[in-house]
Amino acid sequence: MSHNIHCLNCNTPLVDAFCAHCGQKADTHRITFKHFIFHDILHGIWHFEKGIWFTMKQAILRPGNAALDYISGKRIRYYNVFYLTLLIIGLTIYINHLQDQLSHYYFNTRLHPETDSTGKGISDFLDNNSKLLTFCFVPLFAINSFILFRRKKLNFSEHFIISGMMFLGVMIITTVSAILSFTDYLKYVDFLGGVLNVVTPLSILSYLSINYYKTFSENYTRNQTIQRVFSFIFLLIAELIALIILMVGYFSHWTYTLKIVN
Amino acid sequence: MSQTNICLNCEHPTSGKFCSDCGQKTDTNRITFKHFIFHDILHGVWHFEKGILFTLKEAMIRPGQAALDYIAGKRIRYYNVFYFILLLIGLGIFIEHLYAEAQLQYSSYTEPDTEAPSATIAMDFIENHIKFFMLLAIPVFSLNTYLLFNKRKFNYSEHIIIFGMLFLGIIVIGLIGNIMAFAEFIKPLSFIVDVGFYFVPIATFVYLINGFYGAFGRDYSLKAFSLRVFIFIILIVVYIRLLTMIIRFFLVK
Repeated sequence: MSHNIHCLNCNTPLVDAFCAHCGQKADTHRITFKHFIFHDILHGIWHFEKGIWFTMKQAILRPGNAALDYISGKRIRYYNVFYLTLLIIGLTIYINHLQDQLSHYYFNTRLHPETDSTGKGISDFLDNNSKLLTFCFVPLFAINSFILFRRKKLNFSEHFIISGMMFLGVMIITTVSAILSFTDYLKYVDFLGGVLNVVTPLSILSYLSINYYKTFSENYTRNQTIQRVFSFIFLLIAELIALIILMVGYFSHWTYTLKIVN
Repeated sequence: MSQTNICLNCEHPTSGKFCSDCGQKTDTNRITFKHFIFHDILHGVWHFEKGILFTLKEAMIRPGQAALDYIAGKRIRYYNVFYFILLLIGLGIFIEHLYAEAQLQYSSYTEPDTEAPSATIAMDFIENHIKFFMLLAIPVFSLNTYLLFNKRKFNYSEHIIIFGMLFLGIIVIGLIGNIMAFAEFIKPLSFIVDVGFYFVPIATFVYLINGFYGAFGRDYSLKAFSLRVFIFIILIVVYIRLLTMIIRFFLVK
């Protein structure tokens, strides 16, 4: 396609790939069928764009340093981390729904197990707000790293970006494991399910420890960083336990009686 | 914030508001709480951005010309019209859900569970898959404009853009109608329901003609233009009849 000399949007003379005045691409051309399908429909409906792949790759390989790059100003290549996380949570909910249906079909499990009212309250609450609750991890990560890694001199919002990127990686691991556990229904590889139950939490833990170590290691000595990463994991577990205690308390009207009825 | 002279993303020297090499804004600055809330959270979660309001304004006031501008290359200020339509259809389903709940609570209205005659089976099917059929309307009706208003030699994709912009306005009018229906539950305002009953079809009609006139009006004499709009509306009716016939054929044994 021929290159325009003036920006089609604002008539500023063009020198490079983008208009310096309004930011529109210099190679804006007539809308063809291919452009229409790829740009308008796929991008519009599924948010399909190359920024997604780049961001996912970065979140898996070097989440902390990618977040630091983003914070320092290299932002244009990244897809919005929080929106990407929401998309992936949506995907996992869909996968879990499929798995519930499959296990109902093959193993005859009940879709709605009967429990007492406290248990039912909790499981209903978890079901109805799972998207929101999963997202609670992001502020927890952010608070912990904000408390523990002060020497980096980042503000709270910047720690939020780092935790968003870390959480994206965690969600990708969870999703991959959810997809792999479809092997429960295949004859010769059904041992994988048991392996996954161990491997998934372990890989999430090591993902978090390694990447928080890498992100902040240049500001602390080796031992200090290791110590802080351990405190991070410890704080996270403590906060989760506190949240669970609060939740059980709320649904049992602060009596803490929970019977399992089968 | 002061503008930097080197792009923070690619270290290309910058002169205007955007890096001419990678397209990043030159006023990229430290992430503050305000930036974080407005840019990362609101934009990320609800797609809230100024492009939405601009596109909405353009779609309501001058849909035809706005689509022509977009086609001609003034694209950066617009939010993706098709994604916007999807968002609004989602909003519409949510509003209707709220309406049904309110109706259940205030009017103690229960759905009659009698055997439906074949005519309503087809309509029910359309209603249950309304999102799909509404999206299907865009390519089908764009084909009509492609066949009817072809003097400017726009390709089919460009006609889809034009009709997409018009469709956006039509959905907004429908949503205003849906919101007006809530007046039913407020006694002194219940006259609004009757107003809405006439408002939606009349406004849609006026809007459609205004939109077509903006996009294609200058290509035809008034007589030729009116004739084409008339044929377009006749075709809509024909398509809806055809669709119900097809669905009835497949659903009713």
